[in-house]
Amino acid sequence: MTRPPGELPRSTDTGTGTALAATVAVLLGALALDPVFAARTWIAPVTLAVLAVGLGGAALRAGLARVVDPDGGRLVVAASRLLVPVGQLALVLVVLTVVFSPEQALAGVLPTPSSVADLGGVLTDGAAEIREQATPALPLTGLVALTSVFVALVALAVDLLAVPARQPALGGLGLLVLYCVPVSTVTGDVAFLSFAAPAAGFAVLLWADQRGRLLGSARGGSGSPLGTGTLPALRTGLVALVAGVLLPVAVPTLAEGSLAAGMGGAGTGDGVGTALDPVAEMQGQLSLPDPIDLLRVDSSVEDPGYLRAVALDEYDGDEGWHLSNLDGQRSIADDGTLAPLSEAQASRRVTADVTVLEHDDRFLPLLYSPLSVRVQDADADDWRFDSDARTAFGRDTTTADLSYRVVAEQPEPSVDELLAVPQTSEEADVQRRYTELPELDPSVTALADELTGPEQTPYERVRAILGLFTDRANGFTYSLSTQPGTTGDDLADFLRLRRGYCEQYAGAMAVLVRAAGVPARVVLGYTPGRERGEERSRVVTTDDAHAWVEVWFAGLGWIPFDPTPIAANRAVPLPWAPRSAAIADAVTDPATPSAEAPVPAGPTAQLDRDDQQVPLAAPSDAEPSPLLPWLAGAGGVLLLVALAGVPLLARRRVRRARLADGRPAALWDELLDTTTDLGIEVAGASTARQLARQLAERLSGAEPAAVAGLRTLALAEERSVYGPPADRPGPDPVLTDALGTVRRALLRSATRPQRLRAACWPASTLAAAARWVTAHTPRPLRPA
Amino acid sequence: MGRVTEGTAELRSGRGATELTSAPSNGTGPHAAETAAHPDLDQPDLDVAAEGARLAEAIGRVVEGKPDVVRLALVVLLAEGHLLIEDVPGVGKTTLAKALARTIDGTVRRIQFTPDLLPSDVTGVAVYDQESRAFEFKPGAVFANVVVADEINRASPKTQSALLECMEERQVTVDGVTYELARPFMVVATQNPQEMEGTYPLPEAQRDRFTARVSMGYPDRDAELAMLDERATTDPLTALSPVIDAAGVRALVAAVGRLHVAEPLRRYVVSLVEATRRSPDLRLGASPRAGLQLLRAARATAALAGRDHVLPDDVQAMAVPVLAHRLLLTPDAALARRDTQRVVTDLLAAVPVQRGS
Repeated sequence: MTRPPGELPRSTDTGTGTALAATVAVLLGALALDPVFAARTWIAPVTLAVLAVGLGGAALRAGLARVVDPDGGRLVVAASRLLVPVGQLALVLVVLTVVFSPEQALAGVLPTPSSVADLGGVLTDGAAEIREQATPALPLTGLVALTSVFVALVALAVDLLAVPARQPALGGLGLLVLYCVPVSTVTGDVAFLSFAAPAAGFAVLLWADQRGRLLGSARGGSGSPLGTGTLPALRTGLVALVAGVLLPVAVPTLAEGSLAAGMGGAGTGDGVGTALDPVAEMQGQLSLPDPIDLLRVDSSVEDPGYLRAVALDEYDGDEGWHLSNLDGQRSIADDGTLAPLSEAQASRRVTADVTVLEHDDRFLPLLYSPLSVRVQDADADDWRFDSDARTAFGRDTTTADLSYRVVAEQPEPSVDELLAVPQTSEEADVQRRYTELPELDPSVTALADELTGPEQTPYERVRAILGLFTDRANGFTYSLSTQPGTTGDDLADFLRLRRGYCEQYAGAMAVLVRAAGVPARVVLGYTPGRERGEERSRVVTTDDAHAWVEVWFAGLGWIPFDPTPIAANRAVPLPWAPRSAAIADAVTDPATPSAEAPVPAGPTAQLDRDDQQVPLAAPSDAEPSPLLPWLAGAGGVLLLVALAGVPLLARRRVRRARLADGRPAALWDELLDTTTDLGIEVAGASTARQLARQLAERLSGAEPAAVAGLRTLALAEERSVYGPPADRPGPDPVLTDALGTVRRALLRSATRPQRLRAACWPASTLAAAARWVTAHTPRPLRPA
Repeated sequence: MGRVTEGTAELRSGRGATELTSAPSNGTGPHAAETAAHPDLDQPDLDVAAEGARLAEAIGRVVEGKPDVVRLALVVLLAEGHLLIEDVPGVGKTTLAKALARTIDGTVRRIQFTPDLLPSDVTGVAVYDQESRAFEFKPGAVFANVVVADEINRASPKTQSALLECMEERQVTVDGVTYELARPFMVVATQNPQEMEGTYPLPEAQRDRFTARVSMGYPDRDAELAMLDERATTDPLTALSPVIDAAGVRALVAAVGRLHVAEPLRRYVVSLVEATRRSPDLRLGASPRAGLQLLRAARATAALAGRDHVLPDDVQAMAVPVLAHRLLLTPDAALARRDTQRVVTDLLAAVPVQRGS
């Protein structure tokens, strides 16, 4: 019935509850990564990895607690403790094997050397993908694998902090790391989920922390253990949440950057921006790094035109334009022309030899409209071609160090030809697929209706829409960042505020063209760069990255239109889509030969200089600055270090003040805090002599002087609090010396990690802060 | 108080050490050495600890192997309280009560409670004296310094109440005349566990009158062996002679009352008592009287330990014997097979000790 006192078993709690809380917290924290990815396929493997760490660790501990005799010697106990994280890592490896390289594994589960090698390859790909992609990133296999490893390591750290170190609240640092990923990589505002999920996770950790403390102070106390401390934990969590909301207002936010910057420099420093992010957002900000030479193009003509990399064919109101699935059935090595033009179409043949300099991307930049591509010194079968998207992309390979020859047949439609193209029937596949839109903001639909009418031919409609962007009177200006709008719809904001860069121009035009019932899509690629040295040899740099629009005309195919007011020296002349000319002129004046239609360079350049207010080294797209994120990251780290130092300094101050005070009560407080710092568990209801006895037992044998000092301190504390007023001891150097002796002895008796924690992250200061918060939080009246 | 302070100074350097490093003091060991230091009872500077040790040693000769129970009995004596000894038959309840009574050179009465015992047997009765033609009061069993009430739960509730009223008021009123009881006055009641047959369990209101409840427990193996050996021929009780008289006990009680009780300590007692009232396991918490008696018992404990002030440790040492028998478990807690001792122990671990203001 009752256990006689003294027979209470030594704590056999292996911390399963805390481990579960830590697991839940990390899972919630991992949800912060949601905005980093374009799709949610990453969640399952990451969850599996976290569960392997959390549940595996709990099971291992419970198992070891049964097998290992706690009195079986320090070495055995230490070895068994070490076994747990090793086992957790092994479980993570199994999970990764099951998910990412089951083919080589034994029974699809057990890792073999070849499956591990496989996994290593996947992770290496992941490192490359981090460098190439910008947020939101496609959840490619390697990237997801790398993310799984990353989150699993965070989970392991949180688990170690929460269970063996018994500091679940400190696990919040792990959640902070997870939270920092979207904060430092995602352009613009971080979604609420990224903030709320780790905050909820932190609340779970705090709950576990409080529960641990309360259970520790009232071991086997009345009431159910689950209920104990839930309210204080909730209260603390709430305060933390509010502080979390208010703090970011005071702290400068990190600038957005590439994924590599956020992943803690997993990529190399020079890996910034050598690939395109296959997304066109309707809002955002560009930063201008020093240009990097990407490609050298030796072509048969002086103006080889756009280098087209990838088409974005899906639009959704929240995330802008993105890529749907690419069809990898066809290889570029297959016979036949890749993207044939119709017989009747006016065109010119262009051949270009492209040598990759720093370019490193999955998508192969090609000329309009490629007939054949020959890659040199590489397996052409690795490069697939999607005829619909006209996109060549690497299967498990990138363009790094590639050389290839493109033969292309560039369409040169005349305005008359275009005008003659009738409206495509609603049933046509192209029409259905490329005019598909989500529900648009009413202002956007109204604008499309205002600009175009059903009686116009498709080309007239496209020109009318193009005119909206290119006519100076409409007030569209080029800007490195969009202006934050108020409608809640990025597209509507852009169309109203009329500031942005190529992604917005191309994206907005494509939406309007689709809204006008004409098939359209956004294309990413490069403007042809500049001649450097030799004639007809051009170098494409990161500054040349660009986005424009393709419109489908029956019989003519995909014809490019470029609504962005870029610098004249970058602009590609598109005779059917003149820049600043009024629609009426171009369309209604048949006397103007289409081939001579391009707008003179002068005015355009002038327009660029006047309105863009950007340096002539024109902006590039999706190429973040290499410096800014690093600076911001370094600043963030410094800030964290500074914040981490606060408890340490506060603790020192308190200690000095108490020693200077010298009264027994102050010295006793200092002793109590020292035990807290060292993680020595002291029951909250201990009396002075109970604590002294407990500590004396801890130091017994080795430290007779400290045991004597403890006695002196305890008796002085007792007398000073409970003794007759006339007889209370005052400050006494003997006591201060005793405290020094005891403190040193306690430090000697502690393990190295305990000492380190006491020095760097004093738990007593945090506990004092928590007490302060609790004392200053209104609490409802309730029974204890 | 000069001597007491001196004793405390000793505690700091000498005995404090033993207390802190050795296992919890067993009541006789550390104090026995000082027994000879202050043998004189009449000295104004009374060493309560030494006197207590002498008493404990004397009782311990009869009640072997139970120093904690003996010490608790002394605490109750010095706290001017009453003691309830509860256990199965044959473990020495009555022996303890008798031994305590014998060491005090005062009047001792023993009442064997039976179902037919009348209240007047306890309190006394006025009888008509033919010669003097007046009612004469024949004092009952309670008119003594130590009253041993054996098997108190076998008497009828009416008789129980008669005794319990005397315990609280320390006086007896018969036919409108009030008779003061002697001082010291201590009732040592023994009781079989309530499940036994033919018993009238004490209601909670009456259990509240006892300062402390203690259960004897079986002696350990060695003590039981020694007992079989020694008591084959003689009863050590007969060999016991008084070591203190009633006046001596009164002086000790007075000395205990002079002990310093700091304000944080009083607050600690109050928070402990309050905690019993808020405990979800308890249907009935501790009364204010319980708090009063807890503090008194803690004072006596401190005095017996030779201190001139009371520590939270004293309160904690007395909390279970003083509080547990007054508390009533909720049906849920009873179903969960908890008991009140355990509840008090848990509360002690949960209620923080008050330090400063």
